[in-house]
Amino acid sequence: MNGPETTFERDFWALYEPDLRQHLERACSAHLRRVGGPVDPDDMVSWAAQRVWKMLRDRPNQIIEDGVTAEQAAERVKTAAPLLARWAYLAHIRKEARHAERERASEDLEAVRRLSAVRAEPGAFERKQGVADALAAVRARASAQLRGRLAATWPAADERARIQSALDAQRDEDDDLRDRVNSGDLKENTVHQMRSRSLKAARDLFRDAGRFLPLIAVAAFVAAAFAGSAMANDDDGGEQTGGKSKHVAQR
Amino acid sequence: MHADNIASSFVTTDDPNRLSPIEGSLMDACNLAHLARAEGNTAALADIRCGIAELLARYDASDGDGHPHPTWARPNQRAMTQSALGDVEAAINTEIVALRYADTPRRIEVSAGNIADRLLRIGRPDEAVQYVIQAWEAAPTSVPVMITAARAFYRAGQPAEAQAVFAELAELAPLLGPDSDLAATLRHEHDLSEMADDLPALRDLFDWLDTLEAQS
Repeated sequence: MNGPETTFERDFWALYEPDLRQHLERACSAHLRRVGGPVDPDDMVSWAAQRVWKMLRDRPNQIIEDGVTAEQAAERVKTAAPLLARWAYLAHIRKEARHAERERASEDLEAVRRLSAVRAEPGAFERKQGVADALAAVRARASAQLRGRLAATWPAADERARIQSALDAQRDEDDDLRDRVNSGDLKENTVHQMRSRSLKAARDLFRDAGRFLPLIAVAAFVAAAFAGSAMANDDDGGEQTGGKSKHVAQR
Repeated sequence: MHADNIASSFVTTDDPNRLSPIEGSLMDACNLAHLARAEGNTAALADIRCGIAELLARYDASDGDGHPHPTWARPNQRAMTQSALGDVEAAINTEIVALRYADTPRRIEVSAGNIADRLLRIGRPDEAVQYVIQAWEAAPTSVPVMITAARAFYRAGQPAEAQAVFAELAELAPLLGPDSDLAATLRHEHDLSEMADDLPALRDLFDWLDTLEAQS
């Protein structure tokens, strides 16, 4: 599998030393400082460097895609340094268990690494076919007042103006309501109740299409109005469980 | 329900770069625990349990490892570990505490969605529907929430609703890649393979996954 080094690889390794390597070293030290445990930071760096070498060889992968330049690949590895440090830590912390053959070593660890790199693609919804139709349906069925309330009480304050535009809720009273919500003139509890009632009313409008289908329409219009910021606007932590699993779905 | 009989799960996040070091390692340890439970590997699970306890102690000692809202984050992370170790009822109760402090759409999505998922795992789909709607209202375009919603509808005896959600996802699928949350859920969610016989749109999604994996 070891073929001759390509121009891409030569260029990448020229960028790796010393800048990228130092970046990986810092990421490994920072990770270990926070999580603790009997792991040698040099071992973590060595593992991460080996992983970079493997990723470079086995393109495309989770971090280095096809068609990127050496500079872009270096930038992606730099961005992924905390993730590589996390993988290196995992590899070393599970070493003993693996030696004792108490864990299905490579398969389990690889599955965990793959899960750790999973990410949402919030922009996909707005590129989906049919969003415009759903948006048109919401506009056609919802009253001006309802559209105004849906937009003004949308959870992400900085997206309210865009949702207003997408829903064609641009009367003076709609602007006024949005301003009152944004300024805190209306109590948080009042805004929350207005949001719940508006969403319920929107769902009721689509009742004939199925009990929960309105949520799909709401999702569509929201996606058309903004690129998923409700998913990506605020958080550092948190589980997002997807459901029960028997390791890998067997069909 | 005894912990050994409760289905395992898995954990993903919308952006791995935004997890703190302890949160990232806790997520990895929880995924390892879910895998060990699914395989019935009690020896590995015992090791992982110790590692999780140490990480969780550090997380609490650091008051959430720099999280901007530890009052939500700490019970949320604790619930994730309880779930991974098989104590799903405790995980539901702890996540309900987190949900009380969830002050942003993302945090409501995570906590309400997790409660719904765990209720499904212990066979309480009607309650799961209530929580998943709360999650969906907070995050209308969240793929994990949509999948949990579809599972809840199906298990609550509403297969047409489940089919509609999967049909929406089947339209979305061609725009997503192999490391998207949709692909990961199809790979790991055993519940879905059981449902596919009744839901054509879900079968389409599995076909999409097969094509994607054959290409990579």
